[in-house]
Amino acid sequence: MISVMILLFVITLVYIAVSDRLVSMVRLLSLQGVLLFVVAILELHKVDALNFGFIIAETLLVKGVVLPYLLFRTIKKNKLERETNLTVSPILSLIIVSGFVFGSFLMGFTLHDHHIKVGYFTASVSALLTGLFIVVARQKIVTHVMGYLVLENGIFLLSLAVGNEMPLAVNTAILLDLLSSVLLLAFLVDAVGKTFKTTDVHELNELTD
Amino acid sequence: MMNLNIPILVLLGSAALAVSMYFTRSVLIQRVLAVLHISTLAFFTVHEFGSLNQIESVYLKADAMAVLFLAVLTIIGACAYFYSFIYTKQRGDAPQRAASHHAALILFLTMLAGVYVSRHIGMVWAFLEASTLTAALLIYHNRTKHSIEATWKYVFVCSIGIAIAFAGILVLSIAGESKEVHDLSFEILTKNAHLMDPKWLKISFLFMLTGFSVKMGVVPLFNVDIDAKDGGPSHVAALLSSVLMIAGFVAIYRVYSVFSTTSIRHWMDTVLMICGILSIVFATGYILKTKNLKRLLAYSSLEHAGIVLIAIATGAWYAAVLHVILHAFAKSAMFFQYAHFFRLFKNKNLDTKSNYIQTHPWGAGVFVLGVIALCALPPMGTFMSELYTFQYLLAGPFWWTAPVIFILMAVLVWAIGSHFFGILYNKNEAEAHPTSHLSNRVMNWETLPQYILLLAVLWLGFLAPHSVIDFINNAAHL
Repeated sequence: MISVMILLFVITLVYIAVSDRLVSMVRLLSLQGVLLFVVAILELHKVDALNFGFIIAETLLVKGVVLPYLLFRTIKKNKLERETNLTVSPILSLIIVSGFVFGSFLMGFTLHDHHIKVGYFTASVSALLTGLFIVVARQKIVTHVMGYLVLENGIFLLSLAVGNEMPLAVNTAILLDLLSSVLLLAFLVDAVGKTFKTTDVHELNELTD
Repeated sequence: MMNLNIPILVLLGSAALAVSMYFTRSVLIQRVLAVLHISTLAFFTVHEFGSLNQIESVYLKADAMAVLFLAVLTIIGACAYFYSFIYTKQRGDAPQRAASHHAALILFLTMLAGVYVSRHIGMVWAFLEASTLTAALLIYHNRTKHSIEATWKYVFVCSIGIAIAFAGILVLSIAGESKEVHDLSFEILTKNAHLMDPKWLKISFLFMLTGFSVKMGVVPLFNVDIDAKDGGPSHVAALLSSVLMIAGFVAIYRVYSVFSTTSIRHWMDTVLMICGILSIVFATGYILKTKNLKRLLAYSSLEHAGIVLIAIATGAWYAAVLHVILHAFAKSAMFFQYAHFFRLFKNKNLDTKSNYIQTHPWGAGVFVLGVIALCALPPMGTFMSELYTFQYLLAGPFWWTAPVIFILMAVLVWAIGSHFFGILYNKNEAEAHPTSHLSNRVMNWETLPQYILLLAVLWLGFLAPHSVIDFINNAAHL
């Protein structure tokens, strides 16, 4: 069951990297939040009530609902529809992200360690690389935020694969970090849109030597 | 249930001060709250000095390094408040906006104190992340095109950087778990790191170095730091170049310290050397190219952060700790003086023909001493810290990199010197008239914090008593 969920997660990664419609990308991100929730529930058998609360808050609530809502709102407010001027074509994106998945799988296989499952490792490293790829290859500011969220999802998956528990303060910080960063980033997308009259990152070039 | 001991009380007290500051409209009360916060930090430093190496609140412990940096934080924090009040007054900021800026300042400084005293890698990460969010509020203050762009870039790249650092912590956790090491506190990790699989440790180190580099302002993620210093207010740039750089240094140094007991030590040294040298290369290139005084100061921080990495890699740990402190004092003095300069001439171009030596001799004096410190020339203390670094460099396995580093540093001395020479002496009747209506006396008095900071740079390098040198040595001990 976990393997199926992880496979679905990897498929969403490929879809996000290929899609140019911003709304579809947000929907896929929301789906990833739900998938992560199911994986977390299936993986963590002996989890205490507090940690369970954190997992629900982080996956279902924040990643599944709050962040997609914020992104939808920003997309609507800035009248954005799709990523224009794609620097990397969808076909090439598909090839690159498939390469990431294959490479991560090979890496997980080579680093073989009985304390980490190859499936988790492959999915999380692929998500990390795909997130960075989206940030580098796309031009819309809001897409960059989505790339960051894909990267964050990869890290969440990696944290599930690790048994060591973090102090409560760190768990709280992770949750607050995710929420406040995206709140701040969404606010800044609006501020940039208003001040620079653009939604493209490449036009943010006031600060130069 | 967590005990209410001093560090927790300091954190809670600072949070209460920040909330009070946010809702205060009276400038006088805002000043009182700022003084209270600096007093809290000073008290915390003295308390931690008194309870050296004792574990408090499970995850916090002040070792010599933490106490040393807390003292630096208190001194530079006090100067930053001083300039922050001048800044908001000069700009005519509404009380609400000034209050939120000062509240963010309280939170920012407190989070950095948290980084210094954390004994758990996860807590270092959590405090650093919180410092990003508070720094964003500080950089955003002006709400101009520059500050919005700088804040966007800073928050975005820091978020990615800090997420990568967290991935590094998770990888370290994987390495630890396979050897039944479940506690990620530095003491436990140091004891057990040699048991862990080196390939996981290497991945973990690379991730953490990349993530924390954005805080220290070194290669690879240094770019947004430069923009943040350029786009934000000058006293914020001073803090980013000093106490935040120290926070990044603390994170990298503590991780290095943990891994230095393992077989990857030489590999880490090589990685740090590469990042250090590349930082100096980029700094040299950009300093030659830039036409902006504030960015020049920011690039100079990149150079000095690179030197600190080289000091770590060559084993000159005393020099690394000393240099990061001296640079913090010197660079914050320069940024504070830059604020002064900008107020007078409303211009940050390097070709501003200000004839500064005559229009404001006291301010020019700060620039002269500051340039001597940044170029690491005697009698400033940075000369000593760089001398120690190069002694170790020449005696170690990386001696062959020395010629490249020396050439780059010679170019930097020439570039920085000639840029400032122009600012001090170039005269143009049209531009030479200061735009400030302040009397010279007030302007002269306002340079006092800079002179105190620069005096500290001189004293620490050449005149510090043995007890202070021993304490720094103790702080640098791996």
